[in-house]
Amino acid sequence: MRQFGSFIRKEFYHILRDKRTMTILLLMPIILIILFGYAITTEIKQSPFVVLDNSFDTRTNQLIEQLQASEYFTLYSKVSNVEEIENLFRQGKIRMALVVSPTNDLQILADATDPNEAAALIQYAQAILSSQLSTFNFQLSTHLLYNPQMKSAYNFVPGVMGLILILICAMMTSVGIVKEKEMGTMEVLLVSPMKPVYIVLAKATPYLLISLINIITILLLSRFLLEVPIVGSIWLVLGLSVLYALVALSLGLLISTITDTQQAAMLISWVVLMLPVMLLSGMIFPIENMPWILQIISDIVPAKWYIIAVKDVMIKGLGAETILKEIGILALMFVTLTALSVKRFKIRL
Amino acid sequence: MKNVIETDRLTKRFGIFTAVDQISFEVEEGEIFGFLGANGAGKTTAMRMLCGLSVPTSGKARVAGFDVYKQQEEIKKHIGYMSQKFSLYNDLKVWENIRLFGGIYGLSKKQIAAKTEEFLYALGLESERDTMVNSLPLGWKQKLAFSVAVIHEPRIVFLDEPTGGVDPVTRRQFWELIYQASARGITTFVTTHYMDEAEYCNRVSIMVDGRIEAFNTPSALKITFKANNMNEVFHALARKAQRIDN
Repeated sequence: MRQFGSFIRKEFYHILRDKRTMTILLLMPIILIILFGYAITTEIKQSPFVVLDNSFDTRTNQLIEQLQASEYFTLYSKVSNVEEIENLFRQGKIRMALVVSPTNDLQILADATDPNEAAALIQYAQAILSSQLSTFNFQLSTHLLYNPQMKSAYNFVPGVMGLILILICAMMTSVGIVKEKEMGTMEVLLVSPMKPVYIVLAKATPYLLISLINIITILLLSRFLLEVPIVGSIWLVLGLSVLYALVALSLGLLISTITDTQQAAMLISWVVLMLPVMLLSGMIFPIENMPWILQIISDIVPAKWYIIAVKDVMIKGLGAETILKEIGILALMFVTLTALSVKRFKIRL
Repeated sequence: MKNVIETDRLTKRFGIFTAVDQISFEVEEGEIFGFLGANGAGKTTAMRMLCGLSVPTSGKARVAGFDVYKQQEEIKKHIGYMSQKFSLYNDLKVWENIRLFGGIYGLSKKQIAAKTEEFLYALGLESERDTMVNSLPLGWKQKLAFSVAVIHEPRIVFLDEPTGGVDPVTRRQFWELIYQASARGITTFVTTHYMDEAEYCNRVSIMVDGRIEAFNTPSALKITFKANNMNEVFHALARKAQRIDN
């Protein structure tokens, strides 16, 4: 036990003394959340629009009022002809235009250079105006494109959690272990009476702790900054995160057994872990829209199951009994990966 | 004299490649044993088997009285090891490195404190206690690494090219530490490239292509090979090597 204690202390020194890495590790979740929450958002706030009213009907004013009342639109001006609308679009002054024809046809125009945004604007406008629309002959002038992020504004919070945990637990652990190999200190440790399993456990402990801190940071940020409610049990979310972190740790361990340089470990972590988490976990692109081959591949991405489960608990407020399948899959992945890497670890040494 | 290392036709094969080919030798207690050979001759593989890092393909070996097949854990408790790469942690302070390895080898807090003072005094590092190992000169790092490798007073210490890259004066100082350890009864098993160091050993073996081609005291070897120094002995043997130097 004293062996283990002195070893864990050493790992903490390594991490705490590497100020740059430490800063990145602690700031990254904050940056990612803010980035996804504010910068990379398709939520449309205060979008300027114009109205071309050829019907001179009072109902048009009701339309404008309703749009104005929402936080998504503000009236830029009223215009008197179509050319004006075109000019304003070109100058980037407006993002949407309402055209009401003398026969009470309602046309909504949106700048489709950013198709996602255009689609979102029109969907928002449609939703806001739905009560009024029945009185108009409604027609759309853009094709709606599927916008995955439209489904939920808080889709990305579980995604960021999945990303951070993989990054810290898998990448940092694998790099940490490979670094010892590269430096030659691993040999010294293996010749010592210290059991390899303790070496690995001691390596993983600080990263597990840091990633828990990160999860809590993310949850706090999403709750109080992004106002994403945590409907389900927070303990269940944390428990799931620990399970997923263990999967990530065992992945990191496996990577460390197949590489000899830090660069290689880093590269493999990126290609094998980070990219699938971002592309195949459903975090950004919806899995159901992928070709079947990618859907099958997505099944072996642990982040997919974690994100599904966290969404269920955090956003839908479901209990543990509904996510048994995800828990089971993650547990199975953990056991398999650990067994594999323990086996490989022995062969190597 | 008691033997602390005994091998009998010890062999290690990787596929069809025989890295170590039936080597048999004994190392006596307290001896400084030089394990020489060109790069790729099989020194490191042989040493790894003795340290319990690698399981032999065939043959027998006992280290500190323990079997290398079955009692690897026991062996590990009775040996120290210093690798050819530098074996301390650069981002830990001098005293923290000492404490870490003391802890790994199960020394008590008191013992670690005593050892720390002893090392710092013996190496003249008292003023460097809180220095990051990173900023120590290479020679000091190596001396500290050796001290740490014998912190638990092992029966045998294995040194894998411990003095690479330092000047002859520093190497000489390093060998003073080996002599001191030897005087305390610690057996030294050392691989080296430097033939002047081979002269410092009590006995040496020279490996060529996985086999031990010569095994004796340096002075006896010089007579056998009619050589003026160990360098000539080594070259007379190494010339026979078939394997391409890696």
